[in-house]
Amino acid sequence: MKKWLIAAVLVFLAFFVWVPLWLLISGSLMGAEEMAQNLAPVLSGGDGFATWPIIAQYPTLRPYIELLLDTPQFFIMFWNSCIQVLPIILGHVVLGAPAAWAFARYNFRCKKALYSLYIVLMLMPFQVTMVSSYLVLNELGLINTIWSIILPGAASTFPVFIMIRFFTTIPDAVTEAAAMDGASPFQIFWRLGLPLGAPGILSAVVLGFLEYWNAMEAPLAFLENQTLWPLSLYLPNITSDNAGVSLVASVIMLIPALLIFLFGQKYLEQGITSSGMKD
Amino acid sequence: MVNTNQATDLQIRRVNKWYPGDVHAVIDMDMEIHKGEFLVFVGPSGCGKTTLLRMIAGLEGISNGEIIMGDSVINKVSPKNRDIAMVFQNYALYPNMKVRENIAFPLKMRRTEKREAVARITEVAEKLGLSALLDRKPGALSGGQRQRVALARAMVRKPRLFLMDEPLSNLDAKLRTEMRREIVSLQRELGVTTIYVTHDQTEAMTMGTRIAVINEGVLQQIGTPQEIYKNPSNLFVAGFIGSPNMNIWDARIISKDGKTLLTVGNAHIPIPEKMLAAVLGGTSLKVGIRPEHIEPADASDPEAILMNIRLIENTGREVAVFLSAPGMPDLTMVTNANYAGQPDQSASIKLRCDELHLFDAKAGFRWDNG
Repeated sequence: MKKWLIAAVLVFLAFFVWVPLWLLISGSLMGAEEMAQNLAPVLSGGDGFATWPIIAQYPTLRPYIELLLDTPQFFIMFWNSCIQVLPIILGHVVLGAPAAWAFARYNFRCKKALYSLYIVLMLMPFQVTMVSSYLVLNELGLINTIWSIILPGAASTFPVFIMIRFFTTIPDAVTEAAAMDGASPFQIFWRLGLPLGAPGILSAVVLGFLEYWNAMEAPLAFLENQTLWPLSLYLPNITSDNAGVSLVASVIMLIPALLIFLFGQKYLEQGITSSGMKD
Repeated sequence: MVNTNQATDLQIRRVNKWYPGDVHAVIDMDMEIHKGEFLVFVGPSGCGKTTLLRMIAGLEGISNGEIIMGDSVINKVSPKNRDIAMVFQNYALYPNMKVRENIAFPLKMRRTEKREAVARITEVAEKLGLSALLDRKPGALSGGQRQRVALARAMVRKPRLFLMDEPLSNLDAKLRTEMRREIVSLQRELGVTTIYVTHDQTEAMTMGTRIAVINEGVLQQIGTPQEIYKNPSNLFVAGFIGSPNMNIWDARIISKDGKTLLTVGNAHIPIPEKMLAAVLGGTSLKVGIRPEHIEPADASDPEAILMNIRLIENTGREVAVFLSAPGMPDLTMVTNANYAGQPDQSASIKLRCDELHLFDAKAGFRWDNG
């Protein structure tokens, strides 16, 4: 009985999460006329209230066709997202994993101070560091290039924080045994640290992907050239004329994040738990 | 420094270890470990035995002193270059690798030729009964099997020195006894010098060719199990080694009717001449006697002491009789299994005076030389 009650409450709460997604999908299947008719009171100042049917009255794939076949701008932005997010994630692994390993397994001078600096940087919202980042990137001549997004993202401190938690769970005896067996510090990292810390690395990858795939502030601040904009900036350009296409773009943009989420759900949960925080 | 003794494999020369906060974990440790011997470091938890082992392994820095292997000081040599294999308390297997890869790891790190590596892995796996488990991951093995893999990984390298840090402490009693015998026979077969750390004195007595008893970072005594058992050099060793513990009580030497006697609470026992000579000048004494050196006596025996039986522990082979009496120290007697006494009955006992151990009550050192 109690279980049923809990399930009922959870279903009720889940309903509020699912409704916008459902409306997004049903909206993406509406024709332009149906959309205009439903949203007329909002978009063109007509009388009455805007309506949104649970299922499109005249479902059509026309908005999908329009976006996928007739909107090259969408593909450019999709590609921009890919070439910006993938190197960032690669950077998280290549730069973040060794840094996290060092924090987790070694004692060195100023370790505490450096770790505190990492935490402070991690907790700072983008808006706080935006101006200083802009000035530095501008001096380096990187403003208006994809590197202004990739480099700061790749050197983010958040994945380091996540991975440290996982690396510290590897028993000292295991790495000491490897050292006794003749492994160099790099071999210990490579042959034991990376495989045993894989859940941590994957959680950092999943969380990083979700964060940077949806990021808007940095591209808006550092990329003036709109041909470099990622997909996340396509959506704000919604007007009454292309509302349907925008909904389709939202659905398509959701797909990679959804796939990453589904494949990495286990690691994502571990990552969120280990970081003790939720973005 | 050159090794003066050909039979010595490892020398520990006045080694000290300080931890931050002025914790002196190992104090002036000095010993020689002979080629092929099985030396056991034994002592209570926190006595510094594992720290010393880790210093030999190179996993812990040496604050002061020297560790010499063969002819060279190895203080600064990294663990991987010491030719030492170690078996850890919690096995420390590589969980991401199969048993075969675990055993192969040290060979791989040393770039051993593949054919030779395969041959060695097969040989060691057969010896330890692991052939059928080679493709399993450590997570799918029992505690005893994991322990064997850890041993195999150490053995496959054919190192100069084996270090074992309480390797049996996570196993159940039966398996522990089995593995104890297995480790000893493997060590004898391979002839590799071995240092074994334990807090279990039974393990130390049954496994070691020599035992080093350590307490509070200080080496108390080193010798064969028999030497240590028969002639403990101080009160700590006397109390630590042996089960049930040695009976120890505060005693005085008195003269009565022209005889020199030793007090046992209210009772008196004669003291052998040679002991008397050794103890002259010692005012406060502690006297010890092993439980098996107390025996049942006739009540009519003039040297008999009357006590009450508090508890009897029968192991089948022998009985431990726990005795007490007003004005007397508690005593434990180990005797024949068909001993007839029962709890709450009185019992006459006799101490074998030639088996007494005399210690200084304050400093704890031994007065007589055994």
